[in-house]
Amino acid sequence: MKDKQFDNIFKDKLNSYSSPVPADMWERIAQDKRKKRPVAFWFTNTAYGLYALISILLITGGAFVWKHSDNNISNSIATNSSITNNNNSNANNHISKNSTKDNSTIKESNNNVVSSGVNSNPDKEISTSPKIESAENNNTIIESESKKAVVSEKVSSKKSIHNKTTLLLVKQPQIIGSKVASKSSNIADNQNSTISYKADAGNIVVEENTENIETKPLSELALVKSDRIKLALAKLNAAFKKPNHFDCPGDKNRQDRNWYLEVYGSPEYNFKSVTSNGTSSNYLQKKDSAETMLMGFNFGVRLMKNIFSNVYLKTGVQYSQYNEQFSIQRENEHITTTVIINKVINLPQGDTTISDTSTLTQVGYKYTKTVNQYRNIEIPVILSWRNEKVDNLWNWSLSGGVIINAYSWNNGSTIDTSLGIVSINSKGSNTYTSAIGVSLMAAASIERKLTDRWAIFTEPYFRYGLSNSIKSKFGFEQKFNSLGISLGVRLKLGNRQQY
Amino acid sequence: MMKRIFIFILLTGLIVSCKKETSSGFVINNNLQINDTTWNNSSSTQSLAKEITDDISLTELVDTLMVSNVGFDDDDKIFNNDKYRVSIPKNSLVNSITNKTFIKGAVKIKMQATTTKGNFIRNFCTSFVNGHQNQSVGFFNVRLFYNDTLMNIKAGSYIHLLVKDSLINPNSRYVSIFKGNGYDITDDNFKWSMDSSSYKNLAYWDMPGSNNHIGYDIKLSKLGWVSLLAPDNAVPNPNNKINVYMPVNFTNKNTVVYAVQNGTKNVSRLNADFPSRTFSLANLPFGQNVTLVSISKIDNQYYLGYSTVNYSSNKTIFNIIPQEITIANVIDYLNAL
Repeated sequence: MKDKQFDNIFKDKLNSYSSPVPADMWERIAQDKRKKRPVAFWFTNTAYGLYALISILLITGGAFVWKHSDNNISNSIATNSSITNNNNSNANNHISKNSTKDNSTIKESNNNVVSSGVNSNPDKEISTSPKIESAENNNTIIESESKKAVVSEKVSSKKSIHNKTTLLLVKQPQIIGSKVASKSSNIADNQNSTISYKADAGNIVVEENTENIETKPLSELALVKSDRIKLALAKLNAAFKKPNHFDCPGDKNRQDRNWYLEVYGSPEYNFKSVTSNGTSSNYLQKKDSAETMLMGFNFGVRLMKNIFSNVYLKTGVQYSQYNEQFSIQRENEHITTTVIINKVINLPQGDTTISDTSTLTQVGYKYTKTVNQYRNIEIPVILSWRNEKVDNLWNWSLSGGVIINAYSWNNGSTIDTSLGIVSINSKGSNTYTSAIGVSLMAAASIERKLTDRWAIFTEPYFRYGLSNSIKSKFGFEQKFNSLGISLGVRLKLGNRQQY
Repeated sequence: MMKRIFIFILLTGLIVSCKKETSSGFVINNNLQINDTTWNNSSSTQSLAKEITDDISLTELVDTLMVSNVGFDDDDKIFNNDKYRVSIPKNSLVNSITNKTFIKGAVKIKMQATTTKGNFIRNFCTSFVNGHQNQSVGFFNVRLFYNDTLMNIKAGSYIHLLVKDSLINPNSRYVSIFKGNGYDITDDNFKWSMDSSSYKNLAYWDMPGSNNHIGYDIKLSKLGWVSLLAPDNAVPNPNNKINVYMPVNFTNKNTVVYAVQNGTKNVSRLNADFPSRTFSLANLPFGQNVTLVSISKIDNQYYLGYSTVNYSSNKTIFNIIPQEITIANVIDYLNAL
């Protein structure tokens, strides 16, 4: 109920709302139409295809009329249509063809370009801009009284204000169809006759004002029919093909077709977990006391693409480096140095000098400090839900995914089980073997637009190592977890959107 | 703006990734004695001697004597063996504090008795006394206590200490009594002085009813250290001097060196020669096969060095290289010496 009430508020407020149409709207529409290919009956959009279709229809229609020439013709056009013959105020036949779905009806406003109003003076030419004139008669169909077009619509209670806006956009290409149809109809009718329709995928309403059809020659009648068939096909095209959209803020159906390039870097706090694989706890304790994780970092580049709704897929390549201070001090280390001693000894016979090699032993502690570096080339595969609004400077998103450790290499030192210092360098040492590790990553991101194409973002994240990325021959395995905050920039590649 | 951010991120990454800190080194612990290679200019050996003797000196013999006021019993065995006997005449003891005459009662006797060359070293004894090499019957340190109060021998009185000695020197007639000037042989001021009345105070210990000498009967007019020494037959000459040098870490602060003469009970402790950083001893006669023994205690770690050399006029300077060793092994070595 609340939803309906809410919708009703907007419906009431916007029911007769008209918004200005940009001056270049028609050009854009025409340009877009040239680009777009209808899903069905595409051949009608080309001149040759159209002529072929008309020819076929003329032939078949002529044959049909010829065969049924004795009968009064009661025209019906379009499927699923109800036909009502009414006499209008000028005693003209009025054929109204309504096709409705979802209980939606479309009302025409006074400013509607596609007006179903009947020209009260058939001999009078109404010249408006844009004006389409027929070379075959003096009658001119009313295209519009102004370039401003408003289509108001009563929508169902489930429609939102976005639907309203969308509707306007959806109807624009159909105006073209209407124009074509109107033009064709104008050609066919010597009398004042206008055809209007409004349609979208869910609702097609055609209103036609036809006068004195019975009085038309057979050839003209066939032409009218062909126009109507073409009109129906155009409407079907309009119904089948995906709607064309322009960049419209807040359109929930908008799908961002752009690729984005993100370049980012992050300091991160790393912590590792070591699991014994047969080694003694004493050794692990010594190792743990000798190694302290330092700040690490990563940086990378990734591409981002909208896959559906607000969900984006991000992937790329990144370099990460975990730093670890290895510091060990071993007490009671003995260093024995061979020295040459020279002694002058006072003997009763006189001083004598002896020279001999001897040793000097020094005892102290040896210290070794180094920064172990665990370096990785990784492939992040991340799904991101973005709460992005085109007109917002600030947006946010939530991300999660996996980071695959594609390649790793290390350098530094550690202790072996005898507490001696050994190298962990990937080259020349088999102390550590790197395994392909997989990490889970979760992040929240805040981004700010700088320009239409550029944005900066910050992304705190947590990364949990699922598998052990390093296996040691000393009987332990270790994996890393990270907590960091990325800073980066995002560049929109191209400017494509699809609705 | 964007370029700057790019460049900043890239440079930061490159710099940090290339940064590598590695350092290693060795720091001498100056609190350790082994790193002190300096020599003590003084001749004091007191502290070192105390340290070593506290670890390796012989266990003191302890027994209780019943002193009566009716006379002395020279048949009292002490220490559950027949190697030593002590006879205390009546009214011969006084309280060292009150100087009152002790009448009767149970008196505790404590005695250090060193009669082998290894034990001489263990108890920091040297038979090289007053510049002369001597053979020694043994070194004895006798103390008497009554209720833990040290007793003295009353002036003009004496007690008898009988010591068996199976290796009585043929020149035993030259054996003299040497008395120490205190109870602490490690004291720098400790000195031996020959008892000029040894001819009266020293007798043979004969088997009862026979003239078979089984030892010596020493009249002690003073408790404390006493030794029976006989001058060595070898005659020293002015050129006699032995020098021993060792690795740099072994100094007079941590090492004592002895020259043990093979075949006789001569054990001579060498002195520190500061100018040459050697251990030396003058007046040690040539022509001896000598075992040079060094005992070092450095940072509570013992080092033992020994080397048997032919000390002669041709070679008087020797080198000893000690090895790290346990106290037990030091004692074992000395006991077997």
